[in-house]
Amino acid sequence: MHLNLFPLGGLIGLISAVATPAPPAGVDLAGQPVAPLQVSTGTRAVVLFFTAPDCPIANRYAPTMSRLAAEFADSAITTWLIYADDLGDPPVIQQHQTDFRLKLPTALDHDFAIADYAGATVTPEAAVFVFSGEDRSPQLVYRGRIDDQYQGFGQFRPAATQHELHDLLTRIATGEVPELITTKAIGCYLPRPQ
Amino acid sequence: MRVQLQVRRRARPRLKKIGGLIVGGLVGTLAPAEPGPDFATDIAPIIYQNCIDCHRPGGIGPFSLTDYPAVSRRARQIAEVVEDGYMPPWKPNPHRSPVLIGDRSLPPAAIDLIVEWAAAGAPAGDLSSLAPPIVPTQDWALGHPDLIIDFPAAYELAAEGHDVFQNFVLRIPLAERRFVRALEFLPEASLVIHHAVIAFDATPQSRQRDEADPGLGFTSMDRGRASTPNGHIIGWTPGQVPYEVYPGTAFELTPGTDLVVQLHLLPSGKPERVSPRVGLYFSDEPPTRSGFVALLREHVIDIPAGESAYPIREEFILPTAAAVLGLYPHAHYLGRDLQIYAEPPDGTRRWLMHIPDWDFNWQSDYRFATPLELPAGTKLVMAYTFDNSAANPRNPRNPPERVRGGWSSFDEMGEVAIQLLLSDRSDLPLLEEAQARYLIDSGEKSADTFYNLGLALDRQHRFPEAISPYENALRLDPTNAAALNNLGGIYERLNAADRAIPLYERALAADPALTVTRLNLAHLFQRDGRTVEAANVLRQGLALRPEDLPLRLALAESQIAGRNAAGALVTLEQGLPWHHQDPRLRFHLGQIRLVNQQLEAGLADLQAVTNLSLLTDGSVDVAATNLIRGNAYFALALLAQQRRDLPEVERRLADCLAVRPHHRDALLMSAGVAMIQDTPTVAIPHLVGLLQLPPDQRPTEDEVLGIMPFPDGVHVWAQALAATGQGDTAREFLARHAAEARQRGRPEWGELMESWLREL
Ligand code: HEC
Repeated sequence: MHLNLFPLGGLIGLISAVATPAPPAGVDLAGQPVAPLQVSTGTRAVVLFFTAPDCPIANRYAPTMSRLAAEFADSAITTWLIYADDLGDPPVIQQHQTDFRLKLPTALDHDFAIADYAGATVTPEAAVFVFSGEDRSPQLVYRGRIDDQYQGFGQFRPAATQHELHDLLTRIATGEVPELITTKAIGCYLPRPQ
Repeated sequence: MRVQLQVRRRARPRLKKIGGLIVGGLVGTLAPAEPGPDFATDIAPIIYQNCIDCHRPGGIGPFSLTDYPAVSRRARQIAEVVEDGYMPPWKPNPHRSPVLIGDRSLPPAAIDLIVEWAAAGAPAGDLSSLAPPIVPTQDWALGHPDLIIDFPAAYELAAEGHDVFQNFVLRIPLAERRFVRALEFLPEASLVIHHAVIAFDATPQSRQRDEADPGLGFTSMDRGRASTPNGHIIGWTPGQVPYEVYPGTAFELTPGTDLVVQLHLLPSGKPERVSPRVGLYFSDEPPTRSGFVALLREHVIDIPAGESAYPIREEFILPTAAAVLGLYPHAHYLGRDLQIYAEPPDGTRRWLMHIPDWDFNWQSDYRFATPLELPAGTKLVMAYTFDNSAANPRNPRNPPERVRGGWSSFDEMGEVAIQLLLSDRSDLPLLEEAQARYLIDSGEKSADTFYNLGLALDRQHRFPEAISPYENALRLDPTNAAALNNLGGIYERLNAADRAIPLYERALAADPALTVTRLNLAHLFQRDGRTVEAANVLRQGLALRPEDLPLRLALAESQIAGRNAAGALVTLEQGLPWHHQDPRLRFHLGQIRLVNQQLEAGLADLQAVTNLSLLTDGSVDVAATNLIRGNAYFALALLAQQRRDLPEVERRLADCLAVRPHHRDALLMSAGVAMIQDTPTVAIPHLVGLLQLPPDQRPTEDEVLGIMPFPDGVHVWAQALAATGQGDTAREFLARHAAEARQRGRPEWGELMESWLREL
């Protein structure tokens, strides 16, 4: 790893590089390794949307996921779809993305490493990382629901009244680095092997 | 650990138990653990019985639950959704209603098993011992329908947004009236259709609303004039058993009626093409019993922001005994606790339904497995609460705001439709009256409601009472043609033609196509001798609807009454293009041709009638056909009599009596003919037939004797009287005629009659 040698910051960077394990990776639909949280300079934040082809709540959020990704793309915020599932099957996922018009970078998380790293438990669930330090290591600033439409299984409003994720991304877009916020996401549990 | 003993379905293999003991013994401090449930033994039967109706390939559930991997992957979520009652979707409290058709509630023991199994890591058990489930198909559950109604095109539901209430107006290709005994709804595009209401509209209103709204169907929660068929509630929710009418209550469907399907659609995240199918199953049996749907509705709803238990209560008292077949409770997002019960006069409470956690998105109609009988005077009660607090997770507004009643789903609503089966068809107007009065009392003072009250009283022949509600309806809706016509009808019955006539005229101005009104008005004119006006009214109607046979026949009749046989001839002849094969037109035409000296043509018409059939709904109406054929035969007999062709007279009379054994004049004439031919034994059965007619149709003594030779006529009449068990009358009759004969100086006849008297 190449480090820029600034007296103090360099040291901190070195420490964190040693102390923090590299962010986990998955594979893309072609089976090639991808690491959503290893970003180039210039990326301000990464949003991970955990989703699944057969989760009705996650599917209802597909348009919202696409819209948020588009809205904040210009603010150097990259959005990924994460399919955390040991049985995640590329053709099924491909079909899912065609059906729901999802055109976002995708990672299959067969060993739940990305989900574990983000602390995600259900779909749909969002995790937001910012990259601010010298070594651009990911820092979790949000995990949880996209908005407050769903309050439980079968308990949902006709439309959301609070938009936590959107509000947070707006702050990040203006250069803020928020404190970590977590909310409870409602949806389908990730199918971790028993 | 949960209540294992209670939930255990069958004894565990002994070996496992020993295993458990050993483990317990090793750990020492733990109580001996019983092995938990596994999929093969305990869970699969529950899932296969309760979930795979929907959770199967092509089903309406979002994923299949037809094998172990699929279920175990979701064990935790399954445990949660069954524990909090979200799955299987079933809202009513099973202990607070009669047994419901298609009850999907899971027994508590099954829920406990699933929860325990998930907590234990969803063990498989011996999968080799597990038979694969019998997965239901997606086809018509009631077999292939008699008529399938498809959407003309698919409706495109947007990927996201609010739930949508979309009404689709579908033509029903019917050539004739049918009776519907069952209806099945196939959702096809499964996941987005949460609820369907099936209604029908015989008026053009739904079509017009459809045309006024761009795209397929129109958006509204208010179904307007589209209503469920009289006495029926037909809906569909995922997994619901198809609607079959209660025996004897098939409902009528007339040509031109539209099917109106209201879909409650919830976007799925992707654009969906919605095109369900509706299958109709017909019956040849017209209804023999009546149903009625009582509607309880709170009209004043005003819920303050933050109020967590806003109550409403409505009561409707049954004027007659009735049995409850089912019900359809309804509220919007803020509905919380819905209770519907009956209080018979004995003071008890019979639960009809309790939905403790109302969910607008899983609303449904419900049907009882057996009708619940309620006596007259029973109070039907609807008691709901609404939660407009911030703590209500379904509250559309956060922070809450004041909410009032209304038709938008963001307004509130509280109502229940209760489907009743009447013990007697004549009870129907009583219920209609009670319903209309209930609605008026609770604030629904609309033209329709007043009209319905008028109609209900009208049907009970309470004519003077019906006047004021009809007048109220007309105050609100001065061109309500039905109210104008019915009010006119009442004045006509009350012998106030002067008031009836202007009402009929207003009704026709409002709706010139109302044949009934035209006939009524023409009848009144005719009765007052205003024949020209009568003919004019009918002629105007025919100009609008030349194919209307009742109008045409009435016009001809009025022309005949005005001694305008030539005019009547033209009127009837002009009907030939439409009614050439209709025995009614041909019969009248035949007679009028005879009158106009067109003997051959007239004869041909009457002969034609004897081979034509009267069709009702495409099938032969045997009774009506025989009636008219009998009349034609009798007319032919009269013609033959004019020609003095006695054998032909006899033949035609026999034809007539073959189709109408109780044709009074044919019996009378047949008896006369037999006597002329000196065959009294042939005459007697005809006379017996006459004596067996209802009293008001029986000919008088003079009529009978008038057509028979004297004195033999007296003899056969006496014999006929005796043969029908009226020996005393016969003897009195003979004695009287004998005395009369002597008085008139004909002792030989007197003697003859006295000898007949002795013979009796
Ligand atoms: C009458 C049809 C029906 C039956 C029966 C049924 N389900 Fe469902 N289920 C559905 C539908 C529809 C959905 C999707 C709900 C939605 O759109 O959010 C669903 C969703 C679910 C979900 C996902 C919940 C969510 O919102 O993510 C689970 C888990 C589930 N069902 C389990 C079960 C189990 C277990 C059973 C049997 C005990 C069962 N279901 C019976 C129709 C059914």
